[in-house]
Amino acid sequence: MNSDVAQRSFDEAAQRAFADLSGDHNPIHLNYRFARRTQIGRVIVHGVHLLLWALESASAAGRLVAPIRSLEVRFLKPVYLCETATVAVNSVGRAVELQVRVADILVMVVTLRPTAEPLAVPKTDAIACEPKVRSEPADRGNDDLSACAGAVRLASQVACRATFPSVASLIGTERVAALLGISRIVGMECPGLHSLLSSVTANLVEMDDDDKLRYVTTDYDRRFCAARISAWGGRLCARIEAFSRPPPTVHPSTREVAARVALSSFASQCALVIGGSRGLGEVTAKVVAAGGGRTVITYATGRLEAEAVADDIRAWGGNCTVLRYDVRGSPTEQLAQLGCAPTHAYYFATPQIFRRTTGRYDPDLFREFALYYVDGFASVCETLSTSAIAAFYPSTIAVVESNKGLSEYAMAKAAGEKLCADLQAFRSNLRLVVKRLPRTLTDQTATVALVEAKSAADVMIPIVAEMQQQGAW
Amino acid sequence: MDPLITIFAETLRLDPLTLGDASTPDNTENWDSVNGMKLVAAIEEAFSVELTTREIMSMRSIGIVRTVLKKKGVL
Repeated sequence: MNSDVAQRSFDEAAQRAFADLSGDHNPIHLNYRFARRTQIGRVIVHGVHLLLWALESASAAGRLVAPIRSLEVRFLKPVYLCETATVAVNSVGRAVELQVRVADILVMVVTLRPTAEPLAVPKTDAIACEPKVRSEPADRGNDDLSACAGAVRLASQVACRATFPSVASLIGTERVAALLGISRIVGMECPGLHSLLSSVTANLVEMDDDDKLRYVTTDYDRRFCAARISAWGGRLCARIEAFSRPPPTVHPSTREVAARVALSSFASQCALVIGGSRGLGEVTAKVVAAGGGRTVITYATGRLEAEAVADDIRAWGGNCTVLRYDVRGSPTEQLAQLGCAPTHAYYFATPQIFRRTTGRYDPDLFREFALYYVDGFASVCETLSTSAIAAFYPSTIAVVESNKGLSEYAMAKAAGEKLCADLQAFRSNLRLVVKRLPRTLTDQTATVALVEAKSAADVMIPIVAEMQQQGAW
Repeated sequence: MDPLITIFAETLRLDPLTLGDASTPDNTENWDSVNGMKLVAAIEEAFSVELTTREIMSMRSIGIVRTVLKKKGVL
């Protein structure tokens, strides 16, 4: 039998309630501004919340029966707030498998078995640790992560039973509390702030117990920042696999950039940097400013980040103002606030690039990318080219390389290249520089995988110099 | 059964008959960045080797993985 047993979406209230119950207040689950600075790009549901909801739904529907001796959970893709998740239950031999999907995308698989492979409980001094209580997640480096050990206090059994009554009856309330404790360990302790939960294998055991879940890192691969953690307590013995994501990319300061740029080399530029609050835009603004140019950086949602970039430029002695600009809106009204006629425009407006995809072509996704990379750029050029201006369009090597999951992105950039060619041909006031940029290290591209990425400064300094030449007509 | 194909099939939970030296992350289901790391761990354990960062970054197909392992003398 294979059928969907439940659907739900998770809103902010549900996030906060789970965070309070589990003690996992990691900002990736609660804070839009923090989540925006990760490759995931958005607030995501706690993996253990998804797990317990799936178990509760299946159990309440009578699809799970004892004995359950072990469970294996694979967290495949993140689930965003307010999107609908569906859980289906399959029988696979003697095991029961829960599959959670969002649209057609499989996001989590849970396998429940009446048997268990042995999982050793480590012998370690962590047994003696008193539980830590944190209001903020630990921010750990590689050395720290390779030697993590400690304990967290288990959640209130009364609250566990009230929130997940069917699962609590099926496997025991303290085991529900232990699963919640796993979320707390990963999200708050180890790896902590930049954690990404990958899998949990847990045996339901009988042990003399107290109200703690103990943990210790048993293996840590520094190449991938991948931790294997043993956790035990609450009549549960678990092996957790989690990653430490790269932290938000820190780009060089204006002062550091100035060491690589000749003073006054860009002094004739009044540069509009669209999407200048972070990433390539941030670095470009600093390069122009370091070369003596005046910059106006725009943001759509990252006002505080944009102000921070401007403050850094001003602290160095440069000239920078900030303007809110959404490429999806009317450029005429928004750019009326500019206060100067830009001589150069750098266009870095972008939505989130890496998406959770089905692998099939998604026309809506292509249209979203085209809105930014074609429509938005065309509108800006139309508005600004009433006087002479040089504009930079960042295309991508993805246009000519095959990258799974990036077809719509690459197609929109290719369309943008064609737009640029036509604009160049038919607009006498416009000089365009179009470059297919390599993978460059920014928040959007920072990943746990081993992938080469260039520094934004290495990429943009020569481009700004080329733009300087283009602007001299 | 080809031991390398077996590792890929078990790690990616795929039918081994669907895998070959031309298999890449782009044309192979489940071969994403997370499973890519699991593949590295499985290969290292199965063949008792340690792969360098450069070798890992080069392994963009099963055929290339095979070449890397042959150079290390384990295949």
